[in-house]
Amino acid sequence: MRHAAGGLRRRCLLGAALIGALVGFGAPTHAADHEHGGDSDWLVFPSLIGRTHWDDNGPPPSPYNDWIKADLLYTHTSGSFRVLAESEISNQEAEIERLQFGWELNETTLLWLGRFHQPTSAWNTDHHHGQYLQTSITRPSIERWEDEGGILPQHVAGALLDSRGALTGNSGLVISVGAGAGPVVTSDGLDPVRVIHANHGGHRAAFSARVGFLPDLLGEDAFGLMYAHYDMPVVEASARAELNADTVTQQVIGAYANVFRSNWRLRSVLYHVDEGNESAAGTRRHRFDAGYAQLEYSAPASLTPYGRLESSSALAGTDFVLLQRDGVDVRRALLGLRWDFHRHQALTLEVAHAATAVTSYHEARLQWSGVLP
Amino acid sequence: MERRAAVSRARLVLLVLLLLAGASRAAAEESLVLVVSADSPVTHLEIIDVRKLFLGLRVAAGGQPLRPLDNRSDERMHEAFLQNVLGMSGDAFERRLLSMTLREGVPRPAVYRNSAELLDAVAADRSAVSVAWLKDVQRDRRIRVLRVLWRD
Repeated sequence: MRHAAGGLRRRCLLGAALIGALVGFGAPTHAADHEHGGDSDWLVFPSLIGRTHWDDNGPPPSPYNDWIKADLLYTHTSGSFRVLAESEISNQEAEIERLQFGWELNETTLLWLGRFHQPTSAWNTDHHHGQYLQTSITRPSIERWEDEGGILPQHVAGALLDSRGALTGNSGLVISVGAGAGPVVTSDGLDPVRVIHANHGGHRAAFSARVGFLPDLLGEDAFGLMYAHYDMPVVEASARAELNADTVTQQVIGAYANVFRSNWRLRSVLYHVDEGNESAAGTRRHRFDAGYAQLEYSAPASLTPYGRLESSSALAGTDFVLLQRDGVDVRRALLGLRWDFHRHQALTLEVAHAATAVTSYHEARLQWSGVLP
Repeated sequence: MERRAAVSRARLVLLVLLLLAGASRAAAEESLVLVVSADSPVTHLEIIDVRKLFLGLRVAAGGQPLRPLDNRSDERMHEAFLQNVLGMSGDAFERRLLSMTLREGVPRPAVYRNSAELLDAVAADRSAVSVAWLKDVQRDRRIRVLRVLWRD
């Protein structure tokens, strides 16, 4: 969520201090004679993004206004115990995005407690906040984080069970089940449980699950199904008035397919959402579908041209979408070119045409991204 | 007489050349092996388990998780390991490790660029698993060779 500049510095320091404390907790007591890795590891994903846009009609939407940001990740393992902390600091926000404490129940299953990314987002569970690891600059509209105008919950605080095991031959099965406290609805949109900020309170149960089939347990091809249910109270009077509801419920079912053949990569997802706005007068239901397909090609000279199509049906008609002041893209088509250079650095150019519920616009973005160390 | 001496010299030169060629071939024949500490409980690892271990999945022996150590003391050995065991390019390997760290909180394998330091680390850790040239470890009693992964 966006915050007043006054508190941003304090929150940045708090977030950095928490990551620093965790790094200190896991730091070796003797000088290491090797590079990164071992029991502890840390990564920094910095990025710089420039954006320009021109509009077909009306004022432009304004998601993705971060022009400089860094994602900090720290992990530590000790026997069967594992800790993971991920913090994003940008010109607009500072937050602990994930803070998870895990216990390996057996060779294939891990139980996490803490704040995690809910597993029904195929995109976010692959890339999280690591901007460098996603080929495109932008993420699909339906996969946006809550503070970017996202309309599906992405952060949940509770328990997450992750399992990845062999099925038959070389194939494998991944199962992720998460349960905990989901977001509440404010006039700014969805507001998940926070780690270093005050919470509104009143968070209710969220449940999400994903089952994926891997033709090769160690490969990247994956096909799967998702299901989620969220029960979200509307905690601000202005939002209750706009939505004419005390509670918003969402039931999400989805399917995804990631196919990698030679130099080609295809990522595709389809969601069906059944949304209910509940009030004393009754429940208004609205159903919509949203999906996307992104195709990438690994060309010579470390170049990767890519394109993505996003579409939806009946998405524009939901009160909940209209509540998002940053605007939600109901359609979007984009082309991009990424150039990987030096070690772990990339320059990406992306042009898009998108339509929200009330306007349409063109935009172009240029990004430098990388990962350290 | 002179002709016989010339023939003898030619035979000698040929013999020396053959010996040199044989020695050169023996030196070029290198074997990439999977190594653990002499005290390790691990007695056998399938190739699929080696791939799982170095790509960030959990592999255990006797209930104890194994720890991969990334030997990059020799660029040719690292390339041979990537191509013949993991079946991927260096870039794909790096990206896969970054992704596993980001997604599942798996620390990347510790990277060693000095062979002696790597062998010291393997010898000192019963859960460590790494790769090395056979010639570098066959006389080291602290190290046990589990299997040959690749022969040049």
